[in-house]
Amino acid sequence: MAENKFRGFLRDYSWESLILVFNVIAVVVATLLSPLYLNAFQILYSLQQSMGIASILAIGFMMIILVGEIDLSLPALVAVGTVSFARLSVMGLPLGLSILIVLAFTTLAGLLNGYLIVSFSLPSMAVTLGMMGVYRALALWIGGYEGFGVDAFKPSYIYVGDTLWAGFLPVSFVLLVFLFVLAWLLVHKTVYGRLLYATGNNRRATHLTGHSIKSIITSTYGIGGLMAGVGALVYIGQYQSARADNVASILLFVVACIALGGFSLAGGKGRVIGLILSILLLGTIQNGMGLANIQGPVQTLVIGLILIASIVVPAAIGAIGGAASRAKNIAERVSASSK
Amino acid sequence: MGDLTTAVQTPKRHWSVIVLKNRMVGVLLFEALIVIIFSIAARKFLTLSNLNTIFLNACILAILACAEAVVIITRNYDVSVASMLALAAFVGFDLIKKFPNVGPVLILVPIGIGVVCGLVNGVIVAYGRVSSVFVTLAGLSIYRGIVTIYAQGHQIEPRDISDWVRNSVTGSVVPGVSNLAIITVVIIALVAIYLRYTRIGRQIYAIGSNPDAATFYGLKVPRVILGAYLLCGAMVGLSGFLFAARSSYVVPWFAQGLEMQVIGAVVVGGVSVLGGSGNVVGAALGAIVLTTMDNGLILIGTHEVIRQFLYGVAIVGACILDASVLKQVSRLLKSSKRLGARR
Repeated sequence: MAENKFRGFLRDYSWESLILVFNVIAVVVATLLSPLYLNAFQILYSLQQSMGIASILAIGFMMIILVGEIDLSLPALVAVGTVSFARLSVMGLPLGLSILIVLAFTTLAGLLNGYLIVSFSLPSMAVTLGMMGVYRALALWIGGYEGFGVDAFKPSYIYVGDTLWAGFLPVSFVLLVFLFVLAWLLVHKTVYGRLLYATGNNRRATHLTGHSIKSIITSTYGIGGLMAGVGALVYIGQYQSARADNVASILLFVVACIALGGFSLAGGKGRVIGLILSILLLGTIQNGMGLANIQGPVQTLVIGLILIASIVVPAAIGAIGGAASRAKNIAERVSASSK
Repeated sequence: MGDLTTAVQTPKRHWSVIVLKNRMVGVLLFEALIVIIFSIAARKFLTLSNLNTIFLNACILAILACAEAVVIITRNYDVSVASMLALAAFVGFDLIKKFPNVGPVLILVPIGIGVVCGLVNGVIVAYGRVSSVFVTLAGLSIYRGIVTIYAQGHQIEPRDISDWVRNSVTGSVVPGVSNLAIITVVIIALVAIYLRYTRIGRQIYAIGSNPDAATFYGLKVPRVILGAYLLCGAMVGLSGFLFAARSSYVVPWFAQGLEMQVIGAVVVGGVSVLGGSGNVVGAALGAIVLTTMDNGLILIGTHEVIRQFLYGVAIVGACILDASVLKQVSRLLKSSKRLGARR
């Protein structure tokens, strides 16, 4: 009985188990590559340094992907958030008020993306590409060409991204864990979460059961915008600078996390646990490559190859599975006719 | 939805049908409008030399937009064009520098690299049946990574470029007309004719218009999509050659971020991002419109903020216009009951 249960678990979570195995392999390889790797503080710190902002964005991106849409403008929204935080800090606003303003703004910007897409039934890829330009321009307008340096930020602003609790626990990591728990509850334990899957799997059916697809899709974009604002808060603490061209190349990481986590762009597929495992895997790989002194461009190349692999492998497995079941069908038919 | 254009016969007078049928005229009118505005606003704008500059600046973007349009018509995207272009240009010019005696045959190198990149993108998208955005986003970083590793910190400088290369692009065989302009016009004309009058060209539209119907009809959908990516890759490789020969400097981050302008030109040129509708001449016109906007706004002395903002607004606006026109047309089709409406 227990064995059956285990098998069922493996079948249901086959992709996640695969990623877990890869995680273990990556840790072993990284340990062999560099003696510096196997150190809890090193792992915790570099993981949250390299993947922190990407993971926060990935949470928002996941919601949008689940309903079968995409948002390319999230990194640009992070840039808007960072320069707005810097501007508000220079103006001398208390942190609480600026958080309220910036998060409200990025959420509204996300909702605007969603509104444009659902109300005119536009392709999300092209619209968010255009909105990316709009938001970058906005960030440039707020921040100027030079942007802001360390001295722009009051100490309270960089608290979240820069502080270590008890000397080893990054505050942003605690925030990240909290966000993932929230995301898990939202996606897997609420009606709203089930509606996301329903919308991603079959819009028409969801519509016919009396739910407003338009508001579901728009709300996911709102969450995406909110996450971009939170990412901006972590960013200013980590890097203590804010420029309009911030986080230009993060999209690759976010998309790689999503694709590796078992999500499909068509929507309705993937789990939060898969996303967490894929972030851990990518973070470990990047960390290991960094410790092994591998150049930046090679690292980007590797991440790109992982993205390709995580798209191609499931497709290939699906194709082989399809061919196998077709072959089985034919064999059954042949044996039936020979009788 | 090229088939819709011909299918609509009953409600001839409706505005949406008129707009759909005369999209190119619309783009031209818009171009004329901004030319008039800029000539009033900036004295230097309406001079022969400036108009010539605009046209030459638009040439490479036009070829790229044409390449992207072929892919977008099949209902796919290619966001890796800028990285492909950089890879083709860098490797091509590096070989030209290393083998100065081989001569013009080397122009095949950048084109070949473009084709190989297109092959990689196309095979995965077409036969893996996966999202083209994911695949080409990975391509964007992979090709850029390869060119950075290949370069090893070096760059191509003007003295590395042979005379035949520069002359072939910036010189003029026909007096008074730059070769670049001739090459661009010829390529776009060829591709436009290919898409309009050949069997594969029509299949590209059919697939973008309705992939399911195309499959049921018996078209080899993956093969045609792969072909579209190959054609796109070849044109991107060629424009890498032209771009590098014109700018004389090639660095690993050459043309970074250009994909946004390219997709913008395609969308502004009236090619529907939903696939199956629009044509490459429109995409080329879109490139001219964007370049005119760029040039005029610089002459007026506008801040880059506004230019980038207008780029974004142009893309979103063109999308909204396109979607609302298509919605109207399909509503008309439903009411006229001539076809089972698709959307």
